[in-house]
Amino acid sequence: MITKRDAVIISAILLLSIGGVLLPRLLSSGGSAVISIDGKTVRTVSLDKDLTFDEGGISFEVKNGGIAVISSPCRDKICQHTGYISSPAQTIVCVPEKMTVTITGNSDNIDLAVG
Amino acid sequence: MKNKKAATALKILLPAALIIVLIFALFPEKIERRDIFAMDTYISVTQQGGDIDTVISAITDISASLDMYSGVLMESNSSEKIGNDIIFSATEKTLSLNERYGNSVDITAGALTKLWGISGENPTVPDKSDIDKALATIGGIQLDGGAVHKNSDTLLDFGSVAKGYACDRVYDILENSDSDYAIVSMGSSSLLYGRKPDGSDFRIEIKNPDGNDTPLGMIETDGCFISTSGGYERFFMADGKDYCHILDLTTGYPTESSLVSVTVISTGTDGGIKTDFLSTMIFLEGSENIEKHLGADDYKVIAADKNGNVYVSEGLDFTLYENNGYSLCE
Repeated sequence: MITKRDAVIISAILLLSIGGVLLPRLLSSGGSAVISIDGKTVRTVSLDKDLTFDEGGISFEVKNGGIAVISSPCRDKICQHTGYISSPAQTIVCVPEKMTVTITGNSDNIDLAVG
Repeated sequence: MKNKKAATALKILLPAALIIVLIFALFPEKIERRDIFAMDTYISVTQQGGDIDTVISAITDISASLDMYSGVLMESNSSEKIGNDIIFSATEKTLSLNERYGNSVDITAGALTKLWGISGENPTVPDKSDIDKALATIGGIQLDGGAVHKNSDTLLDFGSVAKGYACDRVYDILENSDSDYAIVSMGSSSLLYGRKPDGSDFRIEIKNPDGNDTPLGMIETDGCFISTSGGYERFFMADGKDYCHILDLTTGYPTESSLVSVTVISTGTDGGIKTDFLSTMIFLEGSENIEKHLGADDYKVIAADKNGNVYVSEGLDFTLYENNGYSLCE
């Protein structure tokens, strides 16, 4: 027969399993933007508060939970034309300046943003 | 007696099973991610199983061979014979797409691309006579003995197929590995490989061509190749007019297509180069010709036009987002 002690052990293991799955997800909430230049993170900003700032000669704006490049010295301005991003699936890229903006947290179950 | 045995077995098996579940929950099979700048864009590879270094080095090799402005192609583009394996294979695959779908996308239009220089510094509108000269260099290539043969003034430009071609080679590598899940994003072309660890469909958002915060919509799909062409990111302005980077080879000028965004989805071997090629081709053809593409059986399309209409192939699981300026065309 399954004794009370067995039941306690089984329940404990079950709880730990569920916790193991859920805990990492709970810890990763709260979106922020990571700005990297040439593969090195130069700044991480929270997307909770509106803000404008410069980093490596490029101007950024945080607005309504998203971030955009508002001006850049690069030749093609593709980073500026990307507009605001807020999902981990999205990236702002400036190839000439080797700059990327990626989003962490803000889990929205989107695997990829195209276009 | 029998019951007691079963109970003892249960006592051992149940905790053992739960411990295994716990181990898998805490230490899932490692998902690796690597980001690189290559192929004139930012490439992100997320992969479970298989060797991510093999994938990255394949992409780097292709980038070094197919980029018009650096490496092998820049050095050999004015020769009459180019023997590079990757250039040969990408040419061969593009020519077979030309045979099947037409010549509106042409890798021999490099002289025209170079003349406009839309991806370069300070692009300007060229003289009509120079445009005509560049148009005259298009075409006339042959494949022979593992090499591409052409006129010296005909320049190869793989811009409209290179990323799709690279996605195909990554697909081949993954097919021969023990990888069962990967996402390879190259900006305008991507590969969604295998199945997600949680078994659900891939969810892909298409950017809003107007730069609106709300994307155009979301596609839910199995593994596939996906490419998007649009004129809204790479363009330049001269005399108050926008010139997009997609050139119309019938006029020699940037296209004035009625479409603003074209996404093509396909599967199987060489599906990547096909989606890359077709997204540009359908963009060039405009909304007037969209109907025949919506009914195609070997690829699926989502296109948006200047008037806010969205066209979607039947059988595609696409959700249009609300209040983004676009509506579905029945």
